[in-house]
Amino acid sequence: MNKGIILILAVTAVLHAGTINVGFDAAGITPVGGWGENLSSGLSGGLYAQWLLSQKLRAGLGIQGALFNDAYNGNASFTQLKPMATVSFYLRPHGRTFNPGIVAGFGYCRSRLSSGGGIDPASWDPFWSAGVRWDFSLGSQWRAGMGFDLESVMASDKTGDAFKFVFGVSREVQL
Amino acid sequence: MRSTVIFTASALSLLLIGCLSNPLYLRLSSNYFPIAPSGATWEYSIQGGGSRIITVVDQSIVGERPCWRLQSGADYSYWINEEGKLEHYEDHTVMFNGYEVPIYQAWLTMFQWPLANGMTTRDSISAQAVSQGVTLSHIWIRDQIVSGPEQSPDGLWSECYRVHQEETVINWVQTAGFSPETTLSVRDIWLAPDVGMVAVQSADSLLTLISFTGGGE
Repeated sequence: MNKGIILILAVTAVLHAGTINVGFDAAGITPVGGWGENLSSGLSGGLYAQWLLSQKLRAGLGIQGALFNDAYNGNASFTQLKPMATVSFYLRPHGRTFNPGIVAGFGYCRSRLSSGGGIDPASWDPFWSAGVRWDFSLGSQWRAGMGFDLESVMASDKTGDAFKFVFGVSREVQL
Repeated sequence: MRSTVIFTASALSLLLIGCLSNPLYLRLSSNYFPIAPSGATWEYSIQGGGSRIITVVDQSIVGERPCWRLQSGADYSYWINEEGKLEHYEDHTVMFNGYEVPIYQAWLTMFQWPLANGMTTRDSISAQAVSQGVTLSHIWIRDQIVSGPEQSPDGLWSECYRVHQEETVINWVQTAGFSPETTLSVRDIWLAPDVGMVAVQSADSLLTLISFTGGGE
């Protein structure tokens, strides 16, 4: 319920802001814990839009997807789809080469397993992620950032934790 | 008014999403056929009377591969659970004219991980041996389909996968007066997370797990 309120507050706040930061990122994602024993490291990608609540603080919405394949020679695959609210805080928002920041996301994750032609019932579970970024300018209002995230799907009885190396590109857009 | 509608819709959406949660990560994390450590013991009751005890004895090397040795009564079986599959060592022999004739020795895949509802697999073996100038042929085909997650038949274990197996065996003594003999056997196996086999049902028997001890190294 709290995440829903955060989502609504974030949407309300950003509708009154004039500048948004849109971007996408790609990541290598590694399961942490037994849930990934039969799965390989995966690939993750996401799109997001963040409104600049202040020079340093941003909030917005995003969606991420991740795909894991079979760790061996089987044909299992595991997918995650994560609609989420995001918040980030950067120390030097206009720094050309060094703008450290922290990012966090809260939302829900849809997880789906297929194996040997079968598909398990998909599960929707609360999800959070947190990480650090090194953001830098690419010129012409484009910026890039790299860093890592820890994330956790808070599923029934067992969490699905993962570690991500992230690289992303973003651009500020005046509304 | 508008914000109330948005808030209510969001709350209902979250509640609905909450209902769609299931322990998928628990199932992924679990070992559905633990064959270690030494001392692990499963005791089954047999419908109609009797019991069967399976115990993990020790580690062994069979077919140049390290494996776990399990004992049930006076019989030993050999198992490997690694690299996404459970394998069972099969040493198949037949009796012919009073002699025990080896047909094949091989590691056969029993299950592939992770299990999922609707998963299907087919394994087969075709082998033959010559004994006393007669060719003995053996064909074995096993089709499996997985369903679940569901509860075990006795209702004590949840998040089980049910594996429906159909085995066809064709034995043929290739000499005059003999024709291929085909036998079909069907069974259902319920596997529970971090416990393993909790029930096995075939046409003429039902085994139900009554106690499980995890053992220790």
